[in-house]
Amino acid sequence: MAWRFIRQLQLHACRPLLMSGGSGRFISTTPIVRITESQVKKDVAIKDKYFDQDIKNKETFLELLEVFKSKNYKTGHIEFIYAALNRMEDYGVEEDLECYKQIIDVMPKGKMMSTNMWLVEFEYFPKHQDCILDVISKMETKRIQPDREMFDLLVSIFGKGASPTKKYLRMMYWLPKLKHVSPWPAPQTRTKDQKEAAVLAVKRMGSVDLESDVTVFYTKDDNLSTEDTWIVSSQSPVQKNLVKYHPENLPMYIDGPHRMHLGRKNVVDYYVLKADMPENRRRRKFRDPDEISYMKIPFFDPPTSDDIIPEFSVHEQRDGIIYAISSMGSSSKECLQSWIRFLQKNGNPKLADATIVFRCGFQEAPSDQLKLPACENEILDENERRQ
Amino acid sequence: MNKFSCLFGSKYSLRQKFGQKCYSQRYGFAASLVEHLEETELQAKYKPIDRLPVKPPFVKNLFRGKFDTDFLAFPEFMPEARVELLERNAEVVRKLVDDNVDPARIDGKAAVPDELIEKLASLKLFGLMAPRSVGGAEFTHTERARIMEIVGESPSVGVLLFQNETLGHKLIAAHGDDYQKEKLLKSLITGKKYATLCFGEANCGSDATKFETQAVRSGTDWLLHGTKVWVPNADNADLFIVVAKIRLTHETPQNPYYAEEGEEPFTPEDVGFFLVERNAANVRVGPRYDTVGLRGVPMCEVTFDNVVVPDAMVLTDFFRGYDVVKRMFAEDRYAIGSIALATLKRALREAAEYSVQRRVRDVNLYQYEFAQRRLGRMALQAYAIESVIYFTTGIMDMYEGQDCEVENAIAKVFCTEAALAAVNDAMQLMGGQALLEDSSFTRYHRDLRALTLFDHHNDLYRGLIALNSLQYISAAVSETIMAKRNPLFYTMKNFRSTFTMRFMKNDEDDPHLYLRLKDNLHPSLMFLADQLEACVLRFEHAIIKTLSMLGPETVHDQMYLRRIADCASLLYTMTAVLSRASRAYCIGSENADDELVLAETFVRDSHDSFKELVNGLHYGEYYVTDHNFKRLSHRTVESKKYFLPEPYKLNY
Repeated sequence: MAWRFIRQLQLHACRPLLMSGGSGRFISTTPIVRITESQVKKDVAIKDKYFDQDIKNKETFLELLEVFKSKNYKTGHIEFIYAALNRMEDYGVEEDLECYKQIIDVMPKGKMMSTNMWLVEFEYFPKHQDCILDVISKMETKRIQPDREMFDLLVSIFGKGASPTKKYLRMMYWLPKLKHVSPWPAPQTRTKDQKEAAVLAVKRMGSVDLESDVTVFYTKDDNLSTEDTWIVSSQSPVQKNLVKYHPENLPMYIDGPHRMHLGRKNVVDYYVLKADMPENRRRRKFRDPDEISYMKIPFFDPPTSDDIIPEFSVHEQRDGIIYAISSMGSSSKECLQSWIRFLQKNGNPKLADATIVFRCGFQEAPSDQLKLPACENEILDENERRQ
Repeated sequence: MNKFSCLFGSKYSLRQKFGQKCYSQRYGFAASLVEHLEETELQAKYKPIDRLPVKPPFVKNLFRGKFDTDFLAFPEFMPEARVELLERNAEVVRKLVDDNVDPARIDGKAAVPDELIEKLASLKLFGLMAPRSVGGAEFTHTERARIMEIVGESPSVGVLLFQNETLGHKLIAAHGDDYQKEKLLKSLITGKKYATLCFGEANCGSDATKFETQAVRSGTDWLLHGTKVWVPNADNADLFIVVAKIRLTHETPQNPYYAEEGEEPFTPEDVGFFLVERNAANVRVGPRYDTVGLRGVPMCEVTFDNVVVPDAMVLTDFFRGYDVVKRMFAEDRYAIGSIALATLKRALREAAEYSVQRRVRDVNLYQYEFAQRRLGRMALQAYAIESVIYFTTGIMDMYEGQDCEVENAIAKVFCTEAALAAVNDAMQLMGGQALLEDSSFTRYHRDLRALTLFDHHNDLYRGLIALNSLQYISAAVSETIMAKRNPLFYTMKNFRSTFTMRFMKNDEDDPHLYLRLKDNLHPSLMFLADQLEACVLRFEHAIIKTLSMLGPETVHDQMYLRRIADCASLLYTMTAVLSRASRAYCIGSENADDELVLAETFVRDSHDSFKELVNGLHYGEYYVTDHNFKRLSHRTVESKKYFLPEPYKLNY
């Protein structure tokens, strides 16, 4: 079966990706969007009573499907499937692949199979096909990756060329690909510990410099601190060197808290130690990029002043120089001060004399307890302002 | 000019133009290692070596498509008596080596025995090129190469002699003042003392511009501070020649990022050469590195902790330090090639013997074609290496003060790598035998591997070959490059230069052969000469293409630099091999017909690999896969491991 599966994947998967008409938020692999719900609404209501059970869990749900299947009904499959689909949330199985497969399995096998291209083209049993398309679409919205067993199931119901099978194949082509699009996969669920999320976030931000060193400090190691929390800090040797040569007459700033979203479920607050870009930054001379009349060769020729001036690193941005980034368990001023002391001990002696201005709002509550709706409100506010 | 005899009295008595001071042998009688020979009789036959006036550098000019056909005549400059004496000297040294040098023992004990060193010193091998007045043997480069080839049977001994001379007393003779020469030279040349160069550092390797070792001015003295790594023979050395940054004052260093108000731009620090006696206070020699190859040469770390160096012990005058360093990189590196050749010849001898004795399924090993191919390739490599070494030394000896830095660098890279490849072949031929712990082949392999890294990495020499040559031609081709990079400003110029027969044929890999190299070689080598010429012309074309594509950034694009360096090496080795074979066939030397076969094989093979390389330069990104390598390397560094899933894994 495996070779057939791969061949099908190659045959159908290269079709262009269709965007669904509604929200542009998800990439949809549905070829044709049809709403059939209204037609079957009434019948669905009848079938809905199947699902009025006292115990609502996965076992009951699967048993209900089993009962329906064992009756070998001639009709009513579509209505039953829609009813099951609507009540999945009640049973807490809306993210369970096994349940989706069992729902599809309700359809009778063999009778609706499109065995030739005409049947495929004219949509043999269109309502049944649409119904299963809706099931698969729901899986897509919930980001549930189908497995190979589903292919056999769909083929045994609708045949190889039918829309649900095609939709399945397209999903199998695109969804695994999108899985690896981001080099920084965010956790899909809320992490057990806020520190875990903070380490991921800081590592991700620090990755602009391959040499970045992400360290976790604990404030109980700092004698001057009364708190007991953690600080995830990232700094690279280049940044340490920048701190070393920071002009003494200029202040440094701690900016924050900035907010970073890790996937849908995690929010991390972070602080940045930075300074304004001094105007007297040395720059290398401009060289005509077409002139080679005297080629100065690296390594063997004596250095000129240009060779000693360091090139602009990724940490020197137009809005300032970034010396370090951190995220911490508590957003208090004391915790930020501990961070600076830790940095000072870890290769930045210059920070002892530097003037550091706190340009940040402190929060009483630790960032563990930040609620997601808070930030969604902010986004809403912004939308309202735009309107 | 007759191409096959290059002995001409020079009309000009040009003094050395290039600052490269070497011991003048203008009228020196070839010194004899064999003191008891009837010297007067031999000397009577001697004629002074008359050097020809300096020529423009050979390889550097290939980058502009200029081929000096005089170089197709293999340099032949030694009078017969001198050749005769060299042979006798070689015999004496050969006897010494056969009797006293046991490479396996030196390797096992990781030391060169003292009595051997005394014997080497008694034959003046520590000062092969030093003047006789201070106890040297006053040899030419060619003679030195020959002697090194014999002594190099044990690479450790060869390297010891090489570094003591080229990286030791030769530096003092070239850049020292009278006081230093008088005080130090004699004992170094006669082998009573050792000198060694302290160059590389842990944090910056061989990049002298980034050295952290400093010499700070204090009163009339210098305070030397820093650590040098991989110092050869540091265990036994009596004199360290330390390369360090010169700091004239105690002021705090300038801020590299931000300029003070009204501050001048940087004044980069120069480097100087400081002579430090071993017994000076605060010099610490660390434990030796336990190396795999060249075990007879102890490599150590040397730390200088505020060592006081008086003014009299500073070698170069200020503000020339980098020049000296640059020239030092490629000086006399053919000698390392000679050491590699010695090992290869020995390996070839053993492999030939083995393949005759060994019987596989009732047939001798040498009758298998697998074995024949390997043996043949080994001979071919040995021939090419030998040609390159003596071609280089010949040029250096024949022309007064000839600029041979690129040639020397090519000799180092080509000889060590070709010898390593050949020994690899030999090991394959020997099969399991070569893997035994006490097999000499593992030793050859280790030593040759070490030679490719000794005295700077071969890749550094590749950089030197490409960069120095590009710098040499940069002024001459700058106008062309400017036009090519700005086609709209120089429309007609570009138009005219592009739609010419010469340009278009070259573009189609069928260059018009106007250099007529074949007129300068024996007619039986005509077709090979044409191949070489096509290579030269395509190379020039490709260099212009590369420069106009990358502009001044060429010097940073190491993928292209490597390709350029390898192309130049192939051109040079092909020239050396062709000129040698042609001369041998013309004068009818022993087995000259074999030389024709060797030349044909070598040139045809090289021509193929050259084409591959030059296409990379010519078509650039459309042809090569450099960008893929860059990306893969980046991904590897980013994830710090192999970054792909196993192929059986599912992705859903």
